[in-house]
Amino acid sequence: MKKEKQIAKDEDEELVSLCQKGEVDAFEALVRRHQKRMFNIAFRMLGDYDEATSLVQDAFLSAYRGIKGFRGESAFSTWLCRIAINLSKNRLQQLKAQLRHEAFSLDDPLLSDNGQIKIDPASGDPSALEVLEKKNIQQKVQGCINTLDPEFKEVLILRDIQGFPYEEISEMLRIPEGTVKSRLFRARASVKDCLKKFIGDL
Amino acid sequence: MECQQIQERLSAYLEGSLPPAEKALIEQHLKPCQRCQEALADLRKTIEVVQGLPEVEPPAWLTQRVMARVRSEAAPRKTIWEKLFYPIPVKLPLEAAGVIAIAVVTIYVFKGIQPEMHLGKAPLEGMRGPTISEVKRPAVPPSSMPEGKTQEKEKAIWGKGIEPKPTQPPEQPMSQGRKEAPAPSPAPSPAPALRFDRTAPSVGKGERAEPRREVLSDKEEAGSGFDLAKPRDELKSGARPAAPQPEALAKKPAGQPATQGQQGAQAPVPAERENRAMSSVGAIVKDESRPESLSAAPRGGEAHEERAKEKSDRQALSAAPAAKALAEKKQAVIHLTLAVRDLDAAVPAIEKALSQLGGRIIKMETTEGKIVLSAELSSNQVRRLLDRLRDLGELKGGTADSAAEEGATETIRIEALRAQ
Repeated sequence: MKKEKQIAKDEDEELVSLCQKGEVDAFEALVRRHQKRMFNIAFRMLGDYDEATSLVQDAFLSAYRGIKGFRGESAFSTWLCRIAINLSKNRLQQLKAQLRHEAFSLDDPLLSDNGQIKIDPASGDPSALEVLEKKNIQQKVQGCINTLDPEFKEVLILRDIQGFPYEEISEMLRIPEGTVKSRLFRARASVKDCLKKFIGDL
Repeated sequence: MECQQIQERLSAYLEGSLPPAEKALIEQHLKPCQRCQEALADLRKTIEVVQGLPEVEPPAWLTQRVMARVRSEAAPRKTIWEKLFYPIPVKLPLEAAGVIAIAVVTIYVFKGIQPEMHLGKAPLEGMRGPTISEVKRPAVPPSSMPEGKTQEKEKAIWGKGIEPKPTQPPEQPMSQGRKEAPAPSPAPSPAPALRFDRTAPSVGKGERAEPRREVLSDKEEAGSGFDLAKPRDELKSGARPAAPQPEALAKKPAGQPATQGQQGAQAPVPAERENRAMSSVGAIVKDESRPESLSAAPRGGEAHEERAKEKSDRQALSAAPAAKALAEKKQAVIHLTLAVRDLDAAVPAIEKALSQLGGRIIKMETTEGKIVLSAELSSNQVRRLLDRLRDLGELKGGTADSAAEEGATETIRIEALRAQ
C-alpha cells in the first residue's frame, strides 16, 4: 500500500516537472489522476454535485496557474487537496452569505433557517426498501456533515471519508496534529448527535 | 468522571490514542453506564456510516472541461506580443500588406499635391528678381552679372529695335521676360513671331517699358502707372475694347504678325501685359493668370474685372469656359530636366523646338549654369517635344503621363543644365 503510494507520488512529481516546463498534456494526466478525489472532497464539503463540479474546475485551473510555484515541499496530492479545501471554504462562505440575503428557495433544501437539516417527510416511511433506506441514511449523513462548521467538516472529510493520515491532514490544513484530532472527535460527535436527532436509533 | 467528559473522549478511545490510564478510566465508567455505552455504540455507527459514504463519480466531461479552461488560459497568457503577431503566417503578411497600402496611399497623396507645392514656390523665385532697388537702379554693366552672357545676347537682340531693353537689369527677363522668353533667341522666323504676338505693344511703344517695370517692381505703384491706369478706366467705364480682341487673338495662330499693328493701337493690351507681368510674379500658377496667357490678351483685363467683382462679364467672353477648364488643370505641369553640353546653344534650340511645335514660352529664368524655361504647349505636341529635347541632351522626367485631353494645353517646365 505504501509502495503504491510512493510510486504514485513519484509519477506525480514527474508530471509536475513536465507541467512546469509548459507541457499542458502532462497537466491533463494529473487532472485525470486526481479529479475523482478532488471532486469527492468538494462534493462532501459543499454537499452539492453541480457546485462540486464547478469548484473542481476552478481548483484545477488555480493549480495550473500556481504549478510553477510548486516546490515539492509536500506531495502534489496534498497541495492539490489544500487548494480544493480552501476554495470550498471560500465557496461555503459565499453561499452562506447568499443564503442570508436570499429568500427561502426550493432549490436549497439542505439547510433550514436555523442552520439545521430539514426533514424530508418521506424519509420516515418504514416500508422503504433497504437500498432506499441506505441511500436515505447517506443523504442524512451528508446533511449532518453539511451542518458542521468548515474547520470540523474538512477534518472529518479528510480523515474519515478520504482516509488521509493525521500527519498529512496536519500538513494540508497547516494545523497541528493534536488540533486535527480534537476537531475530528468533535466533528464525529456532532454528526452522531445530528443523526440521532433526525433519524432516531442508529 | 462525568458521562459528558467520558463521551468527549470516546472518539479518542475508539482510535486507541488515549494514554493507558485514561483508557482504563473510561472502561471502568462504561461498564455500569448504559447511556455511555449507547453513546459509544452510536459513535461507532456514525464513524462507520461516515466512512462508508460512497465515492461519488464526477461527470465524465470534467477532465475535458478542466483542460479546455486550462488550455484557453495557457494560450492567451503567453504574451501580448504573441497575441499581436500570432499566428505569424497570417498576421505578418497582413501587416506587411497594410504597411505597403499606407505607403502607396501616402505617395499617391503626395504626388497629388506636389505640383501645387512646387508651383507655389515658383512665384517666390520670380519675386526675388525685380526688387525695387534693382529695377530702379540704373543699368548695371551686364558683364558683372552672373548671367552676363545671356544678358549680352539679349541686349544684342533687343538692341535692334528696342531701346529700353538693354538697360534692363538682368533680373528683368526673369519676371517680365518670361513671356518674352523667345526674345534672346536667335531663332528663325517662328520664334520672333511668337514673341510679337505677346510683346508687340511693349516693343512698339518704348516709353511703356519704363512704367511697366515700376509696376512690376511694386504693385502699389502699378495703379498709378500710366498704362495700367488707362485701360483700367476704360474697362471700368464699360467700354470694352477687349471684347472684339479675343476672337482676333485667339484665332490667330502664333506667328501671325497681322495683330502687331492692332495691338499697338489698342490700349488694353499693354494693360493686360502689365497685369500679367504682375501676376506672373505672383500668380503664374494662379488660375486667372494662366487662362489669360493661354487664350487671349484682353482676358487679362477681365481678370482685373474679376478683382473688381464684375464676374458676370466673364461669361460674355466665349473663351471663359475654356479658361476654367484650363484652370482646373493647373496641376498638370510637366517637369523636365535636360542636361546639355552647351547651355547657350541649347536654349535657343529648345525655344526653336517649342515654337515649331506651336508652343509658347511663358517664363525664362537664368541662373548660374541653369536655365529654367516654362512653356505652354498643346498636349498632343508634348511627345514630339520630348523627342526633340532628347536629341539635344540627356532628358530626365516628364514621361507623357499627362491626363490632359487632346488639344489641351500643357504647362512644361524645362530645366536646362550644363552636363557634368
